[in-house]
Amino acid sequence: MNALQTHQALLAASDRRAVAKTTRRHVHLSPRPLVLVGYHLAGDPGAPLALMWGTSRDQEPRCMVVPEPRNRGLRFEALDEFAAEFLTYLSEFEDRDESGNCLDAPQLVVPNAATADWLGGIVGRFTRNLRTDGDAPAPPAVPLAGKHLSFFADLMPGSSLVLAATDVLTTHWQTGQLPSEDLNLAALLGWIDPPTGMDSPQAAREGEAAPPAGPDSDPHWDANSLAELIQEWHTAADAVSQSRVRRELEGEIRDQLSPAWTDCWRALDRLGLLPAAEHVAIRWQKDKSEWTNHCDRVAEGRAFFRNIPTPLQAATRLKILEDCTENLQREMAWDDPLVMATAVASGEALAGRVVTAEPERRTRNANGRAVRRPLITIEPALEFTRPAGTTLFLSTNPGVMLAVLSSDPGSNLIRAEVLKGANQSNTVGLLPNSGDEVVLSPYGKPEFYKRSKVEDIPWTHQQIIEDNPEEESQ
Amino acid sequence: MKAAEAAATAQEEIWATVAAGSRSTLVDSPPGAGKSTLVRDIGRRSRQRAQVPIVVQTNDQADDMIRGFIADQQRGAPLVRVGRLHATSYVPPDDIRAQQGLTFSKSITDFHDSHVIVATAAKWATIGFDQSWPFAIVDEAYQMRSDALLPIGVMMESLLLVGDPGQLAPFTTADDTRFRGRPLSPLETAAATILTTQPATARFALPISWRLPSHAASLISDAFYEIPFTAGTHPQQRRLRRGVTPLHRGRAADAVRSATRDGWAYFELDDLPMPQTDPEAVATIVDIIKELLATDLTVEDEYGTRGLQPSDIAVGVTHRDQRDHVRTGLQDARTRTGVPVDDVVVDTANVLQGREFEIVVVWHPLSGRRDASEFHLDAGRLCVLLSRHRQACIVISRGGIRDQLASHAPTEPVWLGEMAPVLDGWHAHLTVLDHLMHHAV
Repeated sequence: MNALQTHQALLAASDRRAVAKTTRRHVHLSPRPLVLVGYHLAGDPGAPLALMWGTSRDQEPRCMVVPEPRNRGLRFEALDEFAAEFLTYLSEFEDRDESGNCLDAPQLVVPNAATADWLGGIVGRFTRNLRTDGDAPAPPAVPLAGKHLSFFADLMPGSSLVLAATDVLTTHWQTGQLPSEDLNLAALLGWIDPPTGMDSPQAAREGEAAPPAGPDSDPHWDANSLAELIQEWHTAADAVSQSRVRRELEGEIRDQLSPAWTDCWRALDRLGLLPAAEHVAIRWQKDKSEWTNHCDRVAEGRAFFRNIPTPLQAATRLKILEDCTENLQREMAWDDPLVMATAVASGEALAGRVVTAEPERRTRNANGRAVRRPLITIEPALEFTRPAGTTLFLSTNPGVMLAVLSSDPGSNLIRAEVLKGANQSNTVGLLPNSGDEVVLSPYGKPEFYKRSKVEDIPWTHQQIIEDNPEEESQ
Repeated sequence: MKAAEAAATAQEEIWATVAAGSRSTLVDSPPGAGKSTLVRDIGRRSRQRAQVPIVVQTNDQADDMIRGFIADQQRGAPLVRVGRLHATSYVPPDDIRAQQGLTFSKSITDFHDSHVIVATAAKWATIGFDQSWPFAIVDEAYQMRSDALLPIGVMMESLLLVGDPGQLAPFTTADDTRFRGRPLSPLETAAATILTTQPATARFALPISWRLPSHAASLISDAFYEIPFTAGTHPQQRRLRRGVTPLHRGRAADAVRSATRDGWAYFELDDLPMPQTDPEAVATIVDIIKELLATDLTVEDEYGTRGLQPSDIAVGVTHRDQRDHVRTGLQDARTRTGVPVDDVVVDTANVLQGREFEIVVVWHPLSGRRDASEFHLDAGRLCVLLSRHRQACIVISRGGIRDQLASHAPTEPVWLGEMAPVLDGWHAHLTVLDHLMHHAV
């Protein structure tokens, strides 16, 4: 945690109200998201108990229940019901433009990261390879939905294809409670959006009293309601009484899941009040092309998901992951002064007012040649203690790279000379003028290196596993 | 001299294995055991057969490798034409720019007549795979990530990997959950990857540290290494002699006195939880550096006697913002006093890996923290910081480290399928702390 975040957390605690960490919204919000909440049987993530979903807060959400979650027949019957509707929702995003890219992409909204992990990592994983032929064929929609869920399980930082409400809210607001307490969506919303007349900690305590947002259910409810209904299901003599139990269970589950369902929409509404940051649209464009690729893979029967990637896949994946992580961090800082302020507070970035600007300054480089090195002198707003030689980038034009020079003794002014990006006659106009407020940050434009693609796994990464070496040598 | 014989024997054995055509050979080397000398020697010998690519991890290491080749030739080694393949933005340092027999280029096509080509692993990954080489040398194989070895494996038919197993393991800034515990994870070291895929790898260990003085070798060997090693020099061969006895009194002066006398000094500040950039720690380090330079030290060792230069001193820290604050402190001190204290090298453990100085001032990784996280406990980090010096090491820290170690249980997850670390950070830290306590000032 850096200095500004610590300050915000203390401020939130003393003001009894969440504090904004951003002035912009850093995720894309779809006009038609699929909000999805669910429970699995306690202690058995592979046994879904219920799912509730919908694309509009004004319509009654759809609900799937498995009256006996341990019964695989019932499980796949119920999953088939969900899969059919899930596929219908996804098919709305298959329209393409003339260059073959999907016009828009779906967006799943879940209450927390645990639900996203459960749906993608576990439900997706155990359904995506089910056989639709043989002795116990699965309904064809189930493995297809599993492939889609698996796609949504494997996203990069900065993607908005899946929004876990607690994660997105804590990116934008700081509460006065512990980070682990922020994992409870209802409590978190209590801090961010308390009902009128209630202070945040109070609203958070009320939220904690609500039924859990899943994927784990409330153990008291399990013991007092669920266990009894499952028992009734088993003792039900005929189809009529079974469907009565099923209806009763569905009513119970709706009561349990509805608060989380409503909270997801509240989270979206709250986020919708913030103006979108500049790079959100660019990142969503990337999401759309990921979605397009995935659709192509599904259409061509190539949508495979390896549990254990090859060394080549893992290396590629890690490279993309590292790039996305870094890009998200710097894009958020460029887009949002309050995010940039965390870098200023930690001393990595320099904020201040330009006192003098010398766009014509020339100096000699290492080879003795005269080169144009414009200089700006800045009066820092906060003490800046990085050494001479530190390279920084203009926050409004990250292509402009500057180096901090040693300051004059006794002066608090910081001198920075342009190394690149604003030392040509056509670019020098990018420099700020005296009197301007500027921020020089450590976030420069990413550099691209052309790397050769490794096609086949080389000998250094081929693991030869011999089942029985002795037998072979005979 | 016995040590020199043992080292020479090890080197000949390694060459015999390489010359016999072993596909993969791994040499474990403790700090300063002549790893770079070995790389250059094998490079020189095998250039008779074919051009030898040398893969290093950083540009500093590549430049040091080239300086090593130049120095060898000045001492009478046969001339080797060295190519330095580099990125577009790289500027050759002044001292090697104009040397004879060197080729600098950003394109692999310019090295037809070079005997050896030195470049970073990142640069080797960009040259396309049109060419291949029968044999290449990888330096710092325990610092290199497994994914960086992929392009090397495509181009090179056999490899000699050399590295220090006690150093910092490679890492990523991204969330690595998905890659942990996987077979041949991209986050493994290149050395571990080769050992997994090539069980027949010939494995050697260099037995002697030429860098560490005898009073440091035994501690570092005990605390951090599985295969023990010894110092190549006698206690009386290395000495720091004071030119003037400054009139200063105080703990910084005491620390310098202890370091010149015993080779170790431990400067403990009050036990307080502090921010990462603890201003008092920064001020203390600056004081110690000023004191070291004011003392006008002379270095005596097996090569002779010379005055201690600011660039012979390094300050090792854990975080980049600590580095920046110490550098700023030194620059300010220079502005005030005119003493070139800012010629002292200040860097993080990751960057100091593989480098060597006469005196190193270490900012203890656990100093001022309330917890003992895995990052700060990493035995490799402490090992790198404590094994860069030829003469003396001064450690500064907030008090209370023993309590931190005692009261913080490991919180990091255990990854199935991942080898347990050979070294226990707790044990290593306590061993070092027990030793330092004898040198507290």
